[in-house]
Amino acid sequence: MFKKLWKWFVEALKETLNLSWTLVGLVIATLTLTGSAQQVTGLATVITLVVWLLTLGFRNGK
Amino acid sequence: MLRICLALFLLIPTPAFADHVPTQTPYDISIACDADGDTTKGDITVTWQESDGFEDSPPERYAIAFSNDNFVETNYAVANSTGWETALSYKSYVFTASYRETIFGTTADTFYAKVRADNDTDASYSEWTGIVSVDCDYGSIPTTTTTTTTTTVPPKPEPEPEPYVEPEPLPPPPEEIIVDVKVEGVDKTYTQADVNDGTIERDQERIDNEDMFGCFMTNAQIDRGDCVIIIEEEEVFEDDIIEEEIIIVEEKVIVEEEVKEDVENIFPEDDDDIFDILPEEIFEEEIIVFEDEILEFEELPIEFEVIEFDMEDIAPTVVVEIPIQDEIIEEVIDEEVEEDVEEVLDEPIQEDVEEEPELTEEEIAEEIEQIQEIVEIPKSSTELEFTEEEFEEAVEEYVEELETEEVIEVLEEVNDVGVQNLSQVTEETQEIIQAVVEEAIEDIEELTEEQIEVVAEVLQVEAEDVEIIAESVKDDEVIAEAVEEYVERAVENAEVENYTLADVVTEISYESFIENPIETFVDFNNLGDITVANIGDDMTQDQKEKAQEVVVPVILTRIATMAAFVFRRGNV
Repeated sequence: MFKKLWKWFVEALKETLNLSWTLVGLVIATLTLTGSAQQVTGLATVITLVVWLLTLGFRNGK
Repeated sequence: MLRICLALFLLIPTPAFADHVPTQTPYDISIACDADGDTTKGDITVTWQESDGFEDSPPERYAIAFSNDNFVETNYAVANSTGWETALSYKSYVFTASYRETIFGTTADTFYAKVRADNDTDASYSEWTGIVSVDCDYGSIPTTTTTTTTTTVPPKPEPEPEPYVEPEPLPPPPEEIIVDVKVEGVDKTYTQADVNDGTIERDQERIDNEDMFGCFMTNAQIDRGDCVIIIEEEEVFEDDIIEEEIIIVEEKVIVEEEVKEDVENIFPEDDDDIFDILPEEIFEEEIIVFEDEILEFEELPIEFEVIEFDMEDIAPTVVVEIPIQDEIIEEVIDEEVEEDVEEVLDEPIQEDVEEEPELTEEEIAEEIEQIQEIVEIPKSSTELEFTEEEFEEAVEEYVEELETEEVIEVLEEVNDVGVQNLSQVTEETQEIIQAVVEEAIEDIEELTEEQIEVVAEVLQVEAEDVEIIAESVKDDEVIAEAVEEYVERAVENAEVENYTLADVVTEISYESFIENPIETFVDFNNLGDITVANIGDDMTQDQKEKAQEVVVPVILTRIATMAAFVFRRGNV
């Protein structure tokens, strides 16, 4: 179980690194915005990233 | 290579070609008989859904067309009094049995309906929805049959046929229907609400102006200059006048009755000279006297039809057919647009490019002196100097005592020299100016439009944005801090061109993100108040422009990421 979790963690880290440029762009966009637009963009970015990482196995499964 | 091209093709964001129209056609139309479950009234309800609100000219009202022969011969239209209110909400209109009895002569038939969204102000009208229909048998007389039997067996007591129940006397037709007018071949029925809000007058103005100037616009639009009016010098030829007179004599027979009625009103009854004239002479006089009035009717492209009504028809109806050619209107609009474009292009471009002349050092020094003369630096009443905290308190107290006019005077002087040139004033003066800016934002409700423009110039934003900033300061810590530190940061960034409040906001957002990244991204404050329609309403125009500049880098980074991904896959 621990091994499986560790494996997922490594995969998630790799996938996040793959998304580095995209995340940089989104962070800059979020910091440039204010008010409701900033809230929505920030929240959407975090939620999408979490969903993206949680569905690693589903998307890469053979 | 092919895969890379394919990936780039898929990754480059293409704009969504949404069907963006000025006024959207209503959605989801339906029609039902006795929709409320009450079968005693026989109402027919037409229901439709309002648009999603993404349109330039939202409906000011809805026109509901109604027919009992699928709009082949009968075509009645009514307009409701309320326009667009809530996105995707449902609206309905009820055609009562009495109304159907009045216009169709029956309450039991197949009835058809369609709806259109109208914006009279912008002269924008949607397409008609599809036609919906319903069979409604309210008020139909049930058929009865009689049978005779010859058997000797005593007949069983047959159930008595249901007694025919006279339908309830129809209520009077709705009072709201005032006038039926045919526009573009469609009957348009005005309601009482239309009379109250002046819709009829505006429509009449449009008809008149269409006739006079070729523009289907209200007087207000004409006065505003929306219609290009070409005044042509008219040459009067005697032959033309003679022709008109001949036509009038021919038309005389048609309007004979009306003319006679008017004669009675205009000629005084006790005018013996007129009544002594022979009947033939009176006839000629009538033609001469009413020549002008008849000419007016001649000039209008309107056919008047006099419709006879029974006494039972309580609501009088006047049908006016107004032939309007869509193509001509479109051509006129096209010409107007072209002329406008030419005018814009003719304007000297240099005017927009011109920049304010930069102040010389001497001028800046003079302005700085003026600022320091106006701004009084609080001094300690004791021999000891202020500590930093004491000075801040003293400044706060001093600024609070300032009158609004004094605050604006200080800001005007700051504008004269420019915020970024304040590095030459003392730090104390800078702090006071900073406090004055904060004070002006806090008291935004007390400021006049001119004073707001002065504040906007200091912050280097649009005047409309000052109000947004004042609202945001109350619940957004980042913007509140940005306003507090604006003057200080503007002075520090004197070298930066076009340094505005939006830049300060971005800087403080970045600093806040470095301190606490999670809080910046996961902020649930007032999340429930956010709707799709109001996202971004609390951003200043300047901030929006700066945010747009970020979209391009985001797209580029996305492409770069996916390209790298494709390369890696290709090398495996």
